[in-house]
Amino acid sequence: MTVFHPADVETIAAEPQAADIAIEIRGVKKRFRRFNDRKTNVKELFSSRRGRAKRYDDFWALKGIDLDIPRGKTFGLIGHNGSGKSTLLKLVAGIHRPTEGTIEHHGRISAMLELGAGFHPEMSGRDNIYLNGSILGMTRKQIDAAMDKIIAFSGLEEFIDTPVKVYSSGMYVRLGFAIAVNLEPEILIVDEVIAVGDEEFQRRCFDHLYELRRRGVTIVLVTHSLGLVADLCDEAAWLDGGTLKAVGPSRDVVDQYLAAVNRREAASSQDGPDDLATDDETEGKTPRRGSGEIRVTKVDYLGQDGKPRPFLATGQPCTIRMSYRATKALPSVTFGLGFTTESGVQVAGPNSGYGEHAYAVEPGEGHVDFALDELPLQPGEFLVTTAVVDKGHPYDYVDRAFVLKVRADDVSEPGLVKLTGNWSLGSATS
Amino acid sequence: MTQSVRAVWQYRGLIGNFANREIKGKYKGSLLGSAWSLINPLATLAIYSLVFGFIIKFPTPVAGNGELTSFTVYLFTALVVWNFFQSVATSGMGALVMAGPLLRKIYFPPFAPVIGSAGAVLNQTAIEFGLLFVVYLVVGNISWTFLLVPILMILLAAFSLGIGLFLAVMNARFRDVSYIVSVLLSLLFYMSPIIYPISLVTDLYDKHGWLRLYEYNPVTAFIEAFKSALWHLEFPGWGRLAYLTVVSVLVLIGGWTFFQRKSADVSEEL
Repeated sequence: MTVFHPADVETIAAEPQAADIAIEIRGVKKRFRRFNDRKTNVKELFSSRRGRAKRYDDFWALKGIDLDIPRGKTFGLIGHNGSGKSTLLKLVAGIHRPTEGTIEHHGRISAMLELGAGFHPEMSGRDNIYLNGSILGMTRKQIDAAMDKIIAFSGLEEFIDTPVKVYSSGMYVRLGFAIAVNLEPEILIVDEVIAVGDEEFQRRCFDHLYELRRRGVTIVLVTHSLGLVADLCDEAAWLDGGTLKAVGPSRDVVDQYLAAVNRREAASSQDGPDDLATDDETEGKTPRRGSGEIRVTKVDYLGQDGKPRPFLATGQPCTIRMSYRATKALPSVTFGLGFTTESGVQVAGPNSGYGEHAYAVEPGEGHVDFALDELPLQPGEFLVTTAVVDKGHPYDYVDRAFVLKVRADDVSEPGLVKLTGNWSLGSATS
Repeated sequence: MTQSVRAVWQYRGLIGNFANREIKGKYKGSLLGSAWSLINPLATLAIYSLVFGFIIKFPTPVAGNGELTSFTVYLFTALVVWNFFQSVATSGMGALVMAGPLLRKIYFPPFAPVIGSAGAVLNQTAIEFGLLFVVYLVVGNISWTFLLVPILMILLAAFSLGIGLFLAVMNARFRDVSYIVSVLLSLLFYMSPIIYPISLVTDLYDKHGWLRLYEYNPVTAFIEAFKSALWHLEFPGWGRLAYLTVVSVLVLIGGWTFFQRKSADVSEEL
C-alpha cells in the first residue's frame, strides 16, 4: 500500500529546474524616489497634503532585467558606476524589493555587501560570530560547528573574546569575511569587498573563493576589476543604465565592455573639450619649477598615424610629443619625461641625453618627439612629468600635470609594463 | 497567521541574538554593570514613594492578607507592570532605527530586532518581578491568584508588542513619532492607577458619569488585574480577563499586520 504524498511529487518535479538555476530574475524593475526635500516629520506630511506639490522625482535604477544565474557557477556583474549593479545585487540579496518583476532563489544566500556591518562594538568577536551567523540564517548548531574554522581563518585567536570595538579595521574585515565564507553559503554574493586587508589575507580570500567555486557554491560577484571577472567568473553580465547589455561567457562580456569603454572615451574626447592639460591649466595649478626661459606648453600622444590620440594602446607604436616655447636661445637643453602611477610608483623616466646629445634650442615655439616602437605600459592611467634642464639647472619642471591613458583591446597580463620576450620549451635530453 | 508564526519561529535564533545584543550592550562600559537594572527601578520607587506616599499621602488600600498597607510595595506592583509595558512599546522604535545600517547591507526580517528588543525587556522585568515576589513572600501576602500572573503577562506582552510593532514602523518613516510617544506615555502614566488607587477615580463616577471610560483604558485594566492578583489576592473577574484577551489579541494582530505591510520597504527609509 502506498500513501500519496503531494509534497514528494512537488520536490521531484521541482528538482531538475532547481538544479541548474540558482537565481531567477524576471522582468525586474526598481524605482527609487528621489525626494527633493524628504518629508520625515508629521508636520510636513500634513502641510504638503494641501499643496499637493510633487516633491519627488522617480528614478529607475533598473529598467527591466531578465537574468538566470546558473547554479554552481561564478557570475560576474560589470558596468560603470551607477549602472545598477549594486541595486541588482541588493534586490537579489533581498534587501530591497523589486518595484516590478520577481526574483527567486534556490538556496541560502550569504551576502557580503559590507564586511562586519552587523557587528556590535561592545560584544566580543565570538558573540558577534553568533549574531552575524544568525543574521545569515544559520542555527546555533551550525554556527557552533563552523566556529573553530572561522576563528582560524580570521587569524584572531588571541582577540576573539575581546570586544570588537578594540579591533583594528583590518581585523574587523577579516572577521567579517571569515564569517561570510565559512558559514557554508549556498549562494554567495560579493560586492567589491575583497580589496581589503593585507596581501596575505587577500590571497587567502581568493584561495577561499576558488575553493568555494570548486565545491559548487554559486558566487555572484560585483567588481570593477575586469581582470578578476575574466579570471574567476564563468559567466558575466554587463549592465548599463539599468538594462542588460550583454550576458555570456565572462571573457566575451569583458571584451565587449572594454570595446564600448574605448569607443565612448574616443567619442567624448573628439567632441568634448580636450581634457589634456593645456598651458593655462598647468600654469599655477601644478607645482612648476625652473627658471622659465623655456616652457613645455603641451604634451600630445600620437598614434601610429601621427595624429593625436586621447589614449594609447599597449604594444602599439606611438610618439609622445612635448611642445615648448622658448624666449631665449639655449645652447644645451635636455628634455625628460617621467611616468608615475596614480599611487605614486615611478614606472619610467627617459631623457633625451646630456653633453653632446643635448639639443640647442632657438627662441620661439617647437616640439620634441619621443617615439616608441611598442608601448610597454599596461592599461591604466599614468601621470606624466616633463622636465627641461641643462645639466643641473632646471629651466622648466612640471610635476605630474599630464595624464596618459593607456588601453588595450583585450584583458592583458597583470602588472604595470608588458615585457616582450620569447618563450621556448627545452627538454633536458636535447 | 500560521505563516507569521512560522516566520518568527524560523528566525528565533536571530531574535534571540538581537535580544542578547541588547542586554549585553546595555550596561557595557558602566562601572556597576547590571547592578543598574536593580538600582534604576529602586531609585524611581524611592522618589515616587517619597512624593506620593509621604508628602502627598495617597491612600493605600489594605492588602489581601489583611495587614499590609505599605504604599511602596503597592506602588511597586503597578510600576513593574507599567515599566514592562512602556519598555516593550518603545524599545522597538530605537531597535529598528539602530538596525537600519544593517538592514541596508544584509537581508533579514525587520521584525527580528523589534521582537528581539522586546524580548530583552523580559530580562529587566524578571529582575523586578523577582524582587517583588521576594517582598510579598517576606510580608506573607501570597495566594493562588499568583498563578494568574503568567497568563496576565502573556496578554500584556501581546498587547505591548502589538503597540511596539506599530510604533517602530511608524517611527521609521516619521522620526517625530518617538517624541509624540514620550508625551503620550507620560499622559497615559497619570491616566492609569499606578501612583494612586483606582478608588480615587471610581469615587467620582456619581458626579462625572463620563469618567467610566477610564476603566476601558487597557493599561488601567491590566494594572487593576495585576493589582487584584498580587495585592488584593482576588480573582480579577471574568469580564476583565475577557476584555483584556480580546484587546490584546486584536492589538497584536493589528500591529503585526501593519508592521509586515509597511516594513517590506523599510530598508529604503531608514
